[in-house]
Amino acid sequence: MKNIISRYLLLPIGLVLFFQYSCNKALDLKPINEISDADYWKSPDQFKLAANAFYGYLRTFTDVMNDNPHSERRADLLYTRDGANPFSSGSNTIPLTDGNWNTGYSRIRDVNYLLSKASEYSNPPAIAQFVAEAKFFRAYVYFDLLEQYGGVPIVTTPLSVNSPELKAPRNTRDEVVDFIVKDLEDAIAVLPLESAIGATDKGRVSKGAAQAFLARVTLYEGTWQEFRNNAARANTLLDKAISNSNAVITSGQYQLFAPAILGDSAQKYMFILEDEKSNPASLGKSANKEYILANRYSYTQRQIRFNVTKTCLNNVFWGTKKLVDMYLCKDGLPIDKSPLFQGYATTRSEYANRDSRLQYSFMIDGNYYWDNNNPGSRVTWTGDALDIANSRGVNNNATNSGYGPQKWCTERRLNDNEEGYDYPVVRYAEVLLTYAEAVFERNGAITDADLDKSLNLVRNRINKTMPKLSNAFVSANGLDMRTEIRRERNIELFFEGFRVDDLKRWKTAETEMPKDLQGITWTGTQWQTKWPGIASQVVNGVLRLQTGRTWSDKNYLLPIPSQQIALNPNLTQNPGW
Amino acid sequence: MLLFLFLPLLLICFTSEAQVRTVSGTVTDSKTNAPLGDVSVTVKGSKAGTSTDANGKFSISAGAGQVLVFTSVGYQPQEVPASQESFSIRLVNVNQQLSDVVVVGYGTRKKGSVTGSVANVDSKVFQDRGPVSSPLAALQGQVPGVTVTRNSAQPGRETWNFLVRGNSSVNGAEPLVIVDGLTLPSSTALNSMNPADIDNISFLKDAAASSIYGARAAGGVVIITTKRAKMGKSVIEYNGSVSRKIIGLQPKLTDISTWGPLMEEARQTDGFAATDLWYRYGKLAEYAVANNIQTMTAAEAANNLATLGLSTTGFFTDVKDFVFFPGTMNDYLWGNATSTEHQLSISSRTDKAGYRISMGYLNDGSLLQVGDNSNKRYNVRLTHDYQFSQKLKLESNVSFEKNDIIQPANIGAVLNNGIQPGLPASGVGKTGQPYVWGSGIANASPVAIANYGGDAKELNARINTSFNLTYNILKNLKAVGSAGYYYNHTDYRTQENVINWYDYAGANLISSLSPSGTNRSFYQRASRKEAYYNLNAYLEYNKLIGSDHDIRGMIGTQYERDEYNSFFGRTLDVVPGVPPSLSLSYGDPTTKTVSEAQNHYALGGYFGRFNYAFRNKYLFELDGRYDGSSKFDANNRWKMFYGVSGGWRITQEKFMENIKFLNDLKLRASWGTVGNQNGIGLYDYIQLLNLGYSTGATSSGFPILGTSPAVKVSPGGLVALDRTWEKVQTTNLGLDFSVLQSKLSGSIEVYQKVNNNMLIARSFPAVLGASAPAGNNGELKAQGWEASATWSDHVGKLTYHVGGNISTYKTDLVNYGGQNIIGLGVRGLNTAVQGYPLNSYFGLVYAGRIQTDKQLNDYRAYIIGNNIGMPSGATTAQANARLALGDNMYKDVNGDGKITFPEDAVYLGTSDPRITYSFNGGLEWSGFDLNFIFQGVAKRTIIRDGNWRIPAAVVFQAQNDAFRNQWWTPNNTNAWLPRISSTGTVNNYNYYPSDWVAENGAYLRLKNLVIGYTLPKNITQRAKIEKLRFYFSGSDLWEITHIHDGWDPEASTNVANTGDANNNNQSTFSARYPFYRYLTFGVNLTF
Repeated sequence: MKNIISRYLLLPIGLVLFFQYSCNKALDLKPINEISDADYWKSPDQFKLAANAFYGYLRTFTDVMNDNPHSERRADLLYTRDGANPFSSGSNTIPLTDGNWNTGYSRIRDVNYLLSKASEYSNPPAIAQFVAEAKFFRAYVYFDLLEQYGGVPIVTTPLSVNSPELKAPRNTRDEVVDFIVKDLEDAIAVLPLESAIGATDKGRVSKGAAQAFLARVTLYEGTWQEFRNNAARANTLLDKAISNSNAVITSGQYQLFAPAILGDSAQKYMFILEDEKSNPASLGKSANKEYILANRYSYTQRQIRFNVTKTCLNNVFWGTKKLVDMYLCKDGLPIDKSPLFQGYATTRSEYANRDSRLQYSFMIDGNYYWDNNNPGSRVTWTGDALDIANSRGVNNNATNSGYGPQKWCTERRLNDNEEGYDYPVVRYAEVLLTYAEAVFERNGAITDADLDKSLNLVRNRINKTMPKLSNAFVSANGLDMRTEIRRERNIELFFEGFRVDDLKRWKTAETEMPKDLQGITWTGTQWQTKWPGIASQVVNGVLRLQTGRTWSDKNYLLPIPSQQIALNPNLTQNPGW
Repeated sequence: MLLFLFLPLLLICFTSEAQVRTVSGTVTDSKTNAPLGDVSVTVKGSKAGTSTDANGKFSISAGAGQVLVFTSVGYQPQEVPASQESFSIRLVNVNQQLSDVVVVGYGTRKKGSVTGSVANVDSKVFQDRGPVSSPLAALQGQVPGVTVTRNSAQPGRETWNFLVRGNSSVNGAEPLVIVDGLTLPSSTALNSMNPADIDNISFLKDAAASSIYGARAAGGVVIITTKRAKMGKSVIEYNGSVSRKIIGLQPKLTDISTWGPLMEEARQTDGFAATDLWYRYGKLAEYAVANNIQTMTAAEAANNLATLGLSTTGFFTDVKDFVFFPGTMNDYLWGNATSTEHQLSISSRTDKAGYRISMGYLNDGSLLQVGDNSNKRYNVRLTHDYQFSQKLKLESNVSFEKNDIIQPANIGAVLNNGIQPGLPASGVGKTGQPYVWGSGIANASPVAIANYGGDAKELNARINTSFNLTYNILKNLKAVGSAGYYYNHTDYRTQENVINWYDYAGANLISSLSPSGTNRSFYQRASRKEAYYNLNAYLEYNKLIGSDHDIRGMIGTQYERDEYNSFFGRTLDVVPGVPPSLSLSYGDPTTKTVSEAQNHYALGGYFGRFNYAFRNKYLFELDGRYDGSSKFDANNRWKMFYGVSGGWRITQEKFMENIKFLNDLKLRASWGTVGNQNGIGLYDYIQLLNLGYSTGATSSGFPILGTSPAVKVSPGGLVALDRTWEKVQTTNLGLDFSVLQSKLSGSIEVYQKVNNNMLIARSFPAVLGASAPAGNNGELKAQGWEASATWSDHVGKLTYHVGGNISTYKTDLVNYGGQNIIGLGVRGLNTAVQGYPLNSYFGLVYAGRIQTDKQLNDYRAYIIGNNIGMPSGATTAQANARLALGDNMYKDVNGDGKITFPEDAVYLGTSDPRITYSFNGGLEWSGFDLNFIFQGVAKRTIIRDGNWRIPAAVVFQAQNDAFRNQWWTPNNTNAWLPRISSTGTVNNYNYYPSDWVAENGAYLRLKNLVIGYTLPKNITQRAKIEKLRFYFSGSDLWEITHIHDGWDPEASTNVANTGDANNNNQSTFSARYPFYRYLTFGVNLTF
C-alpha cells in the first residue's frame, strides 16, 4: 500500500507542487516590444531623447489659428469667418473640463519625470544641458498656465494617485511666477550661447532663448502687477525684464532679418522663409538670425500639415478697422494726425503712404497676389508679366471684412498643408520691444538712446525713411510714448498670439474688448458702389462685423474647469466665476 | 491549500473489504448497445457498491445469494441475482434527456446529476444548414441565454459573436471556448472550424458550473467536443450541398428617374433659387429621363439647360460628359451567388484504437458581383484514440484549418454611400475605360474600383492539436494530462493599383487615382502569428460508498500562454501588371515602411471539485480555482474563485411515488464567483516609455532639432499596481422537469450576476498629469431568466417534437465611479452610464410636427439657449437656415424654457437584445423528415447611423428609396418624415436622437426549414449504402421586422466600413454586405 501511495500519489502531487512553483515564475512576463523604464536612463543620449519630447510643447501655427488660449480668435484685431468667439466676446462659461489645463499638467509630469530621473543619475554634468532644457520647458508650461488661470498648483515631482498634491490648493500667483523665474535662471546658468550650438543641435534652447523668455515672463507679470497697483513687485520684475532683454541684445547673437536685397518686403518673407525657393532673393533659413527659438519645420522633413496659407489668406481670418487704422503713416504719425493719410474714399486710398508693414500684411484691392495654387503661385518671383499671369488674379477686397490679411501665406507652389516655414516662438524683434516697454514702464520714461537700441530698430527695419520714435517726436506731435510703444508691439507681433495676453496685462481689455469689430468704411466711399450687398450690415458708415461684445473683470482669468474643483475641493475658483 | 482538502478523500480508496468472490460484467444500453459508464452497481442490503467504467465494465464482490442492483440516471433500475460470475446487463432507457452525458469542466456528467446551469446542443444543429461560415451561425436561437449576433455577410468576415447571459463587465468578457479539453485563446478561433466535426457543445452558464475555469470564465464557458469514431464497422460518410445565396434585406436606392424629382424638391424646399447647381442637375436628369437620353456632352448639357430655361454658368465644370443610365448602385454591385460544400469522413474503432479523419471544403460565394470576392475554407481533422493497456489511453486531435479570403483591395471605396444614380452599370465608358463622373475617387465608378483597383488577400492557417493521456491508476482513481497547441497565422497581401479614369466618351484622361484616393499604387504585406499552448493535468477520484453515498473528487493544475507577433511591410509605386511583390517596386527608400508588434500573456491555475450525491437524490458540488494572470502585479496576481451548488431530485422522494405524471423534477441552486481580466493592458504594472519618431514629411509632431526631426522618448501612463481581477458573483436557481411519460420536458432558470469590483477608469485631479489606470471600482449587475420546453411524441409511425425557449436579461451599471454624464455619443448611444443598462440610447422626446404658423412661432421661442442645433435663422432667412413647417418639435422635458441635450433627454432603450426567443418543431414519417426553427428578438432599440437614413441628406450621394415621398409637405401633413432637406443643419435637427428616430429592433425570423427524405434501407443496402438522404433546406427565409430604412434588423447600427489594424488599417471589412437567404440542396451518404 505504501508503495502504491508513493508511486501513484506522491509523484503526481509532487508534480503539481512543482507546477505551482514554475507556474508562478512563468507568469512574470516582461514587455518585448516596448521600452521599459527600468532599462532606460543609463546614458546622456537617453536623457537627450527624453528632452526632445518637450520641443513639441512649443507654440505653433495651430495655437494662434485655431481656438486656443493665445489665439488671435480670442483677441480683438481679427474676426473669424466662423463667427463670434465666446472668449473674444466675453461670453465664455465655466467648462466641465478644459484640455489646456489637462495638457499643461501632463507636460509638467513629463518634465518632472526627467528631472526626477536626472536626480538619480550618476554623472550630473553629462546631462546638465538636458536638465536645463527640462527646467526651461517646465517654466514655459507654467507660464502658459499662469497666463490662463493665474496662480495654479505647483507640482515638482511626478505624482502618484496617492500624492497629497492631488488635493493641494492653488499656489499664489507670486509663487508661480517666482517658480518660473527660478527655473529659467537655473536654465540660463547652464544653457549654451546660440553660437556654441553645433549644426546637429540647432533648434535646441539656447541661453539667449531662456533669457528672452524670462524677459517675456517678467514683462508680462511686471506690467500685470503695475496696472494692479503693486508697484514694488512690478519694479522687481521689470528690472529682470530689462536686464534679461538687455543681455540678449548685448550678446550679439541675434539680429533682425532685413537683407537689403529684399528691401521693404524683408519682414514678409521672413515669415515664409524656407530652404526651397520661397522669396525673390532665394534666401534660405540660414539667413535668418532673428528667430531665437522656433518650432522648426521643413518641406522635406516636417511639413506644417495645417492649411496655413489657405486659412490665413483672407479666408478664415478677416482684418479689422482697429488694426488697420493702427498702422502709422510714413511720417511716423498716426492716421488722425498725419497729413499723408489719404482717407477711405477709394478702395485703395487708405493703404497709401503707410508703414510698409501694412501692404505686406494685408492685400490691397486691385493688386496681384500669389498663393500656393497652380496657377496662383509665383513663377519668376519678379512680378513680371509671367508672374502676374500666374497670380491669383486681381484682388477683390469686396469680401469678408474688406481687409484681407496675407501674413503667414506662402507664394510658392505647394499642395495644401505642405508649407515648411518655422514658427517663431521667440524672435529678436519681441526682445527689442520688451526692452523698450520694460524700461518705459519701470521708469515712466525712456531715453532716445534706449529707443534707438531697441524699438526703433524694429520700426525702421523696412521703414527706412520713417522718423525715429524719440521723446522730441512724441512731444512735438502731441503723442503718448506708452501708446506708441504699444502700437509698435501690436503692429510688429500681430497674428503671433500676443494680443489677448497683452490686453490682459495692460488691463485695457475692459475698454478694448467690448468695442464692436468693424471692417471697411463704407458710407461715402467707393465701397458703397463696389460692394452694395453689405448695406444692411453698415452701422455709422462702417461695416459692422460684431457687436454686443462684453468684458468683465472675471474675464482677465479663465475659470478653473468645474470637474477639477469637484475632484479637489481645495481648488478655489477664480474671482467672479 | 486545495490539496489538503482532497487528500483525505483520495485516501478513502485504499480501504479494502472482506471478499466473498468477485463478479464482473458489462452494462449496455438496451436500444443502442452502447456501453454505459457510471452505472452504480450495489449489493442489495449491504453497503458495498461500485460503478461501471467508461467501457461499461464493472467488478464487485458479492456472495452468490445476494442481489445486484444496477441504477443509472435516466434508466430503469434492474435487480439481478449474483448467481453467475459474469454478467451482461442491458438497461432500458426511460428518459433520454436525463441520461445524456454532458461535458462539464474537466469531465463529464449525466445531465440528471448536474447541479449547475449547463445547456447542451448536439451535432444535429449543424446538419442540414448548408454551408455555415462558423459553428456559431447555427447556434442562433438554439440555446436559451446565448445571444448570437453578426456584423456582416461578407464572405470570410461574418464576424459572429456570442454572449452567454449578456454582459458581465463594461470591459467585455468573452466566453471561454474549449475544444476537446483545451482552451482556445479567443472565440474568433471558431471562425474557421468545420461545424461538421462537432459532436456536441456544452454551455456552462452559471458560476457553479464555470468557476472550475475561474480566470476566463466570467463570460461563460463553451465546451466543444469533436466527433470520434464509434465502435463497430468502419463508416464512410459523405455530405455535400450546394446553396443559392439570395440577397436578403437591403435598402433600395433611387434610380435616375426618381432621383431627379427628389433632388428638385429637396433643393426647392431648402429655398434654393433656380440657379442652384443641384436643382439644375435634378431638372437636367428629369429632362434626360423624359427624352430617353443616357449620355450628354457638356455642350449638350448646356443646350438642354438652356432649353429648360436654366443658367449654364458654373455647371459642374470638371465633368466632361453627363450620364443618365437606369439602375442603381445596389443593382449592379449585388447579385445572387452560389456556395458549395463537401464533407468526407472515415472512421473506425476497434477495442484498441479508433480514428476518424474528416475533410471539409467550402467555397463561399459572394453577393458582391464586381471584383474578386470569395472565401474558401479547407479543413482536415484527425481524431485518434489508442488504448495502450486497460489503464492507459491516449486521445489525439490534430486539426488543420485554412481559409483564404480574396476581396477588392479597398472595400470602403467600393461600398459606401455612393454617388447619385445614372452611372453606367459596367463601370466603364464607351471605349471601355474606367469611368469617373467628376474627378475625385468618390465620383469614380465603384464597379471599376472593384474590378481594377487591386485585391486584398487574407490567407489564414490554423493548427489546433491536443493530446489527452488518461491513466487509470486505480479502479477509482485516474490521472489525466493534456497538452494543446494552437497556432494561427494570417498572411495579408494587399495591392492597390492606380487607375486611369476617363470621361464617358473616353476622350479625356481625367485623373489617375488608386482606390484610396492617392496617385500612388502600393503593395503591402502583413504577417500575424499567434501561438498558444495549454497544459493541464488532473486527478479524478470516484467512489460509491455503500449504495447511498456517491463521492467524487478532482484536483488539477493548468498553465496557458499566448505569444503574439506581427510585422508589416509596405512599398509604394509597384510595377503594374506583374505579380505583387515587395521586391517589385520602384519607389525610393522613403516609400517603404515596416513595423512590428509583439506581446504575450500567461495564465496559471489550480483547481478542484468535490461532488457528493446521496441516493442520487440530494446532489452537492463544490468547485474551486486559484488563478494567476501575468496582467497583474505579482502582489495582486493570484485570486481564488469558487462555486457551490446543490440539487434536489424531488421525484426520487418517497412521497412523490404516487404522482405518476411527473417523471422527473429537479431543483437546482448555485452560487459562485468567476474572474475577468479583460479590457486592460498586458503590462500595465510595468512603467513603460513611449518612443516617438517621424515617419516622414507629413508626420507633424516632431520639431526639427539639428538636421532632422526629433526622436523622442516620453513616459507612458501611470502604472497600475493596485488592481486585481474582476470578480463576478453569480447566483442561479433552476428547475428541470419532465412529465407525461417524459413527453414534455424543460427547465426554467433565474439568475443574477454581480461584478462588484469591475475595472473602471478612475478620475483624479488633472495635476496628476496622466490618466489613472482602471481600478476595481465599478459595479455591474445583470439579471435574467430563461425557460425552455420540448414536447415530443409519436402518432403511429409519425414522430414529432415541438419546443421553444425564451431568455431575457437586463444589465444595470450600479456604480461607474459616479460617471453618470449622458453624452451624445454616436446617435445617442452611451456604452456606460451609471444607473442605466450598458449600451443605452438617450434622446429627446418628440412632440409632434410643426403644422401651423402659430406652432412655428411658439416653438421658435426654444431657439434661444438650445444646444441641439435648431436652425436659428430669422423667419425671413432662406428655408434651410430656419425652422419651418414640417419640422419636428421636441419637448422641453425639464421645463427650463430651452431644449438642451442631455437635460431634456430620456432613456430610449438599449441596443442589446433584451429578450430573445425561438421555437422549433419537427416530424419524421416513413423516411421523410421536416424541421423548422423560428428565432427572434422581442426587445431592442436601434438608432441608425450613417447616411442612408435621411432623404437627400447629402446631395451627391445615392439616396434611399424607402424614404421617397414619405416626407412632410403641405399636402401630406401626416407624413412619416419631416420636411425634406439637403442641408445638414435642418437634417441634424430633425433627425436628432429622439424617441422619434429610435427604431424598434424586434424581429421574428424563420431561421431554418429543412425537408429531407431518407431512402428505405432495403433499397440502399443493395448498393451497400448504409444511409442515403436528400434534403432541401432554407435559411433566413422569412422575417417580420420594424426597421424602416431597409437594412436587416440584425445589421449593425452604423453599417460602416472599417479598417484592419493588423493590415495597416486597410479598409477590408464592410458591414454593408446585405444579409442573404440560403436555399440549399444536399445529400447525406453513409457507407
